[in-house]
Amino acid sequence: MSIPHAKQRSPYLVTWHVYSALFMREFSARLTQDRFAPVWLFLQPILHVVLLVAVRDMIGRGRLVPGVEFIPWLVIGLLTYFKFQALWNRGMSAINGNKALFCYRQVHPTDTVIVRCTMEGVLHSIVALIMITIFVLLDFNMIPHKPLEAIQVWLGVALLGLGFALCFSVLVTFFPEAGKIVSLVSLPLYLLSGVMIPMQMMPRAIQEYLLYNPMLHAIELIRGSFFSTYHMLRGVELSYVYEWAICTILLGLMLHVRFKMRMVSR
Amino acid sequence: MLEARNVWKRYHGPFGGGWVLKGLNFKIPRGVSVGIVGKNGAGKSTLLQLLGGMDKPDKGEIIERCRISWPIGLSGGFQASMTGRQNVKFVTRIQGGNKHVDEVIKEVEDFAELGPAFDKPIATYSSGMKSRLGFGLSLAFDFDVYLSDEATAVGDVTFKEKATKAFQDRVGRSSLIMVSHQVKILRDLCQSGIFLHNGEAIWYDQLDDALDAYYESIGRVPAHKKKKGRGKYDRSNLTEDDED
Repeated sequence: MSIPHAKQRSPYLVTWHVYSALFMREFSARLTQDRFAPVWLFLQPILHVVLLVAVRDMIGRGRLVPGVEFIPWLVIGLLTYFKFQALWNRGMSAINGNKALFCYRQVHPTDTVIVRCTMEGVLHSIVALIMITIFVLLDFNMIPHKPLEAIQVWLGVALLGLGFALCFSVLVTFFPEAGKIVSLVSLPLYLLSGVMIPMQMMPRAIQEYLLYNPMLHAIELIRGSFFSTYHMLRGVELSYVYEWAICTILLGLMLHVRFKMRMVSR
Repeated sequence: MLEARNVWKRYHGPFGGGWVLKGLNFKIPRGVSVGIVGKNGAGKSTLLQLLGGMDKPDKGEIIERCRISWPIGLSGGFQASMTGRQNVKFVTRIQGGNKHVDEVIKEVEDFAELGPAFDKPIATYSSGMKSRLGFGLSLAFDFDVYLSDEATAVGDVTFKEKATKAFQDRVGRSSLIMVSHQVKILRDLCQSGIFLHNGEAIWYDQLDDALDAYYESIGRVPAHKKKKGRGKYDRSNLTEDDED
């Protein structure tokens, strides 16, 4: 008749079951949400790069980055920033997207955010690997000079995205307006993170303030780990990225613990 | 066993809100099926959500010493963009039945009788199809207590018969707590009743007494035919249109 029930599952086993189930669900939802989804995943960064390169070439300032070719420099920055943004935005909307599942008491709102961020992180890592391979085959110098450092920064960015997603997922559940603020902020943040304009050009006095932005640190560091001749902005530190990541993750988890029931019962 | 101790609940929000439940106290013994009756807005669904762990009382506590299903209802529980099959797989996995996915799918498919619609997105389902799927899915797992929130209201006759039979097979093993306005199915499935009125819960050992109190509170008498069976709410005594 009905299946024999697993006796008493330990909390860790329950969490594992929920994570694996959510993972499969998110993956199939993400890659089948429309006919274009898997293509779009790759096309979006490529189109973005092509567009930016075209614009920069037309303005004729393509050679201004200190110590490195422009296109690889741009591609690395873009991939890193896109990953952060995807984790933030998609992780943020995970709670609203999975609202129907909270009637199963095993599923917590936190799980949906963490699983979605992990999935986005994995997808973006695959996209990055493929893009780098393509550019290497096209004879650009994009083989990382310090691969382990690059991975370290890449992970830091993932954690930072997760932290932002955890905090903002609670915010947008209670104030949907927060979502608009996020999209408002994301363009200036994109520009200020030095993805397409080298921040080395800025005066020192301004750089001081720009360095409060953890994404600027991350993007400079990952470029530094890829290109041996690159002159990073002075004052960037890996620990700063991780400090931000740890703080936002802890704050996000605290908010999730505090408001769990209110999120579930909405 | 399921126990509510001084449970208070209210909803906050832009529309304000007074207390929905004001100090509920009851004990539901093991194996006793309970019908919850009351007017619209009396807090029946709220109570069911509290029992199902989807919400927490503002004051008081709910003590659960058994495995309780999620509330099977008209809304929620399924992701609209996924197919019935995908949803069944997901729920089986979170319930820890990774190794039994195929068995569960087969069982749910047999119970729900959705045919080809089983592989269509839930968004295309009618409410009756959803409640068939929801019922079939929860019956595939061994819970001590099943919660049903009006899930039977939209089903057709065969579905109601099936649901009734499924629960009669489980007498002694598991019980049912159901919210419904349909006297017939309540009478078929439940022994005891809880009458929710003005935020308070009154426990009746006999369902008929709860129904009496309910009908009295709305100032109506159930339309009876001449007494045929035992008890006045017996199936044969009710007129056909007594469905509300």
